[in-house]
Amino acid sequence: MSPVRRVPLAWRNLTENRWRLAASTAGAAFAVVLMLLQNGFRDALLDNMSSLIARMDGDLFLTNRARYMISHPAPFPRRRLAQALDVEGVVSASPVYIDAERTKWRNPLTGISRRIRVVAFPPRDEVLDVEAVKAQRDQWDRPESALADDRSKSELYGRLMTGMFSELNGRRIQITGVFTLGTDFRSNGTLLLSEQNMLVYYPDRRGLSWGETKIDVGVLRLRPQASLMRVRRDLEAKLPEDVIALTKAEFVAKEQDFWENAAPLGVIFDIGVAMGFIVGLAICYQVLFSEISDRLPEFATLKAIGYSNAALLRIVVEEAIYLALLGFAVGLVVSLGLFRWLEDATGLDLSLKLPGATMILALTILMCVLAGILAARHLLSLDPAELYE
Amino acid sequence: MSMMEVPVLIAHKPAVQVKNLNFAFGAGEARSQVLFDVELEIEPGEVVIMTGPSGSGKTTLLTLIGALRHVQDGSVQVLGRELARMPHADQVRLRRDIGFIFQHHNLFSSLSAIENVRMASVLQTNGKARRNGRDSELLRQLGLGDRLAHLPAQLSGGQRQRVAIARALVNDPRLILADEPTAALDAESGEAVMTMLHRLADGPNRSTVLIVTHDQRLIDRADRIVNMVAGRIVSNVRPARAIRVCKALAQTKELAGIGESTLARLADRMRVEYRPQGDVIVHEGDHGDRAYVIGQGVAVAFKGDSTPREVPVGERFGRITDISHLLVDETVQAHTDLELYSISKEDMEQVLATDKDLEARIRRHYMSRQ
Repeated sequence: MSPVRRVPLAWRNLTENRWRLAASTAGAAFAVVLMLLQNGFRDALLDNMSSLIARMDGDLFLTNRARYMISHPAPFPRRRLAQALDVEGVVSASPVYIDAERTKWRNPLTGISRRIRVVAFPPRDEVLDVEAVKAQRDQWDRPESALADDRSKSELYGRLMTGMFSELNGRRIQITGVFTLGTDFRSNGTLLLSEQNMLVYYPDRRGLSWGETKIDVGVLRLRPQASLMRVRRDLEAKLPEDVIALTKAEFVAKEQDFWENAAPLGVIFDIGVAMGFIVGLAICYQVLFSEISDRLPEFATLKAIGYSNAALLRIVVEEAIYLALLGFAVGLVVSLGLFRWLEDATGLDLSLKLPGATMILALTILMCVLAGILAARHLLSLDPAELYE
Repeated sequence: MSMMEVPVLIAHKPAVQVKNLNFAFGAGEARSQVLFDVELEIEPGEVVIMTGPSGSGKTTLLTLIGALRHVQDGSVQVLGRELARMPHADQVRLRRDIGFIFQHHNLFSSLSAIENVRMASVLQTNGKARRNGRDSELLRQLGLGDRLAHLPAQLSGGQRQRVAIARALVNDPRLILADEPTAALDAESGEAVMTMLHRLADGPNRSTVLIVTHDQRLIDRADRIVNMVAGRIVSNVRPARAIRVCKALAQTKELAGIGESTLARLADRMRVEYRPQGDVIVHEGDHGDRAYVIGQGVAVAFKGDSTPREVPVGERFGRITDISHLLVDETVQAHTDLELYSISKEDMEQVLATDKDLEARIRRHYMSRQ
């Protein structure tokens, strides 16, 4: 039976002084906020970079085998869609055009042209699972018109509102409606064009024939009972090797894998989390070191009356865990507030996910326990005989 | 050799037995020896007070007995276990059988009085102390019944020290080591603490109490006073028993009229023995090695088939043949349970060396018996 369980010494020591408790918790919470933000940024990066794919309403997706990210210009001929339709189980195939590199939107207020992402597909195909896009298809199906993402950065493009006129790549265009998609770390705004308008604004997409039109993604829908894996196998067998067929999960994972590992932006945020961990370790070490130092004679007394080093260490570790849980709770609340504020400020979709939060909780506990063990070193080497000096 | 007590009626090991103990701090040129060939035995149930000037080594000895330091040279046996070369984990376990009272209370300011006591009682794995409500009972005995849930900051200095004492005593330790336990207490509280310590010493556990103190109020209630100077025990006396021995010696006709200081020196050298009824102390015609005086009880003495005569309190019997050159002249048997005070040849010679008058008196006595 553990003596520590019987008398809640660790909890009492930690909570004895409210001001000190507040300062200690704030210290641990600061590290938690750092880690949660870094982890949140990382998740946001990956989610936002793949959000366009996540919103595409399809079962399988054709893309150029050489394409390593969605906005990388690696088109393939539209003919592949027709070929895909010949495969048993495929009921529809829609083209998606994406241009994130060359398109310039002229800010009507400043007259300055800024790069903007353009996504295009046939309005009737309902490729994007966004209600506003579906509802307004007649508006953006018209010539020289586009839907605008209302989370596009207004400081760059002006506030994109319905009825606004401006220029896209030097040609007149009108915003005929808005929808909500969100920005990412590569694009600050998005315009949605019909396929027809796309080919007007980007004539170089046209080929010698309709089948030679350069598209970026093919969105395939399958018959309800069709086997996804079998259709994919058939597609790979039938289609030339310039394209691959991916499920949505694979397509999202491929995009996220690029940003996380190849870019490698994930590592940067991981380093950020590590820095938060180290800062927190230093803070919690100071907190627990002071806590132990102030009670050294009392701990020495416990040692003298028969508490083993392991028992004393358990008390310190228990206190460290309480500190971690309090710090995490406060840090979580602060981080949620910061996420909301940052979402409004940046247009990024910042959300706290359970796996990420669980990982930060585990890191916080590890951080505090490590700090506790380090802080307890001088306690363990304490000579109880000094009590009699 | 100092006055020693050899309880024969109840055979048990000393609670503390220190032999040839040397201890030094530091090493090489910085080495400073603080204990020199210390010998000390403390019986179960004894309340011993250790005094001495600062730096005399009494605290070091206390910490060695408490298994708070490692024995470097010599032997320290505590509660039947040898501390020299004892593994650290065993030392930690042994400390759980010892009640430590420190000069500073060292209570956790975050815990209530009863929780501070409980920090010690939970160390007993069977939880016996707690089940029996020993924590609160002890605090009540120490006058803190209405302060159980108070934090140390809400208690006076004396009350805090009493909580610390309760923490030391809660597991009914068989050995209690205390450093100035009553320094922060008023006379009444100090008396209550000493009464409690004596109660533990006299109780079924026969707890042994070793106190380092300069408090005269405690010294008056000690069974034994050990005085240390410069790392050596220079005096080791049992005041109460010394008085009993002196009273018995004063009734010895051979010693009639000798000075108090000689009487005290003689008493200090005498060993206390307990003998049961019927036990033969000395045999007629034996080569005697000790002289005896009866402290309590009655013995009978007889030569050959002669009628036994009664040997009352204060009468000397037995002989130290090497001094008197005479064999034991009569057999002496305990008629009742006896408390005897005896002296060896070596101790006798040391006393005689310091008092020529006594030596002449003893020699005259023996000459008259030849």
